[in-house]
Amino acid sequence: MGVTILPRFPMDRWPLMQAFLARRYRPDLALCNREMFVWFFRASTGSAEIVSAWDGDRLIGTMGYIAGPVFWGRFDEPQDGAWLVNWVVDPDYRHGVGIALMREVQARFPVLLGIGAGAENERIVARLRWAIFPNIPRYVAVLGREQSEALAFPGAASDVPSAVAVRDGAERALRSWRPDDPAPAWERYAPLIYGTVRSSAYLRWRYLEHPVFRFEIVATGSPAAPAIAVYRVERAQGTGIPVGRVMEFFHPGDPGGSAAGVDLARALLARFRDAGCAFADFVCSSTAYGATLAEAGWTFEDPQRAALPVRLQPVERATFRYNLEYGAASGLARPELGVAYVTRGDGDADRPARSEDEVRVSNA
Amino acid sequence: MQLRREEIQQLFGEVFEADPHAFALATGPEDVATWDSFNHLNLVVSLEERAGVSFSTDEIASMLSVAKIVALLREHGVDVDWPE
Repeated sequence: MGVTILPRFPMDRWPLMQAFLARRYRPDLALCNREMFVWFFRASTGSAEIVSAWDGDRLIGTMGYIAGPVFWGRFDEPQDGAWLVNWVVDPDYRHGVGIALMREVQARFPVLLGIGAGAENERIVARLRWAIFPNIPRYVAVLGREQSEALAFPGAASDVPSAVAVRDGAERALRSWRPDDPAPAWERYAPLIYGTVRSSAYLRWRYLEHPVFRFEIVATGSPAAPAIAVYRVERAQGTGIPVGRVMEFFHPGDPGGSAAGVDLARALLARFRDAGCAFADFVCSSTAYGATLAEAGWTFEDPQRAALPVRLQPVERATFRYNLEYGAASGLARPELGVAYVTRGDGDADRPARSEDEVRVSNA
Repeated sequence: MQLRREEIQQLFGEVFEADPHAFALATGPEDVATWDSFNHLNLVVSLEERAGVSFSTDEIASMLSVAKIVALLREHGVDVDWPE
């Protein structure tokens, strides 16, 4: 066996990739759709951000990555980081090819991260001495109790939190925010000190250029240092019940910024109520931003008493938690979960479930 | 750096939770039930830590027998005492 590792995937071999993904995952995987694939792996230049392993002309393994600067303890010196996705190898080649793929990205990025890894991948990165956190916190706000109970896990309706009090007029604080607005002074956003840099380029790519989902970016507070949120409204498959999904929520750490954050969190509730949402949620590691949400009426979800589904395509009526793993090069910090800013917007945690057109109508 | 045959066999035995003496130069993944993808990674990392070397991606992908691994260790300057 002569295995070749390519640092990027050449898109002129797309049919081989499509067949590989269909074989290793399933034929209706969202990434089997070329438009979705090109967007996600930034392949418009002719090659995709995927390390690929080949045995001759046979594609035998992949390690996708979402590259970009990450803050890692300093705002003035971002690191090259990458979120790892779609690390998979054909069964006949699982004696070294997977590690070779990992080594390729380790050589290029001092900070590697993963979200929602399966048990086997978690075991592997544990051996590589990565930091692993099994539960990224989730914050929820119930807006319609009856609709929420209709989505709740079997027998868990009584665990659905009480409906939150929404302040009338709270949404008036909101304004649209464009990622081409001047970049915020990041050093004022202390809780973002560990995590992907939410630059204009990142927000544009991740949210405004998404080929399937439609996101809104909104802000409150001072134009120079706004509180910013990104959300979408998703309709639960089979029921059509809308659910508010917050993907980003951050604000400056000073008193004015914190007040803008509370206003933003309250305004989101009003926006979701007006959209008829059963509930809203936000998966986020940051303890500081969790406290802001709590002040506005959102509830930290106890994983032991979770009642509301995370995955809605289809509705998964069982507990699901996102884990976080990261490996940082020697000399870099190893932060605890609560001081990092990681959300479901990172990695591939918020990818469409399927490539079919019905994904498009699942969005409000 | 010097490694004796018994030390390497001991390392293999620990990684694969098997009898160290079962590992001969001709032994490969097909001969060891526990030589799965995780334990292959475990083997690579353990060898690197023990011998103080770092294998390239090509080398890692080629580690399909004890003989090949011994040869790679020698290429990295490790004095392996394991006669062929």
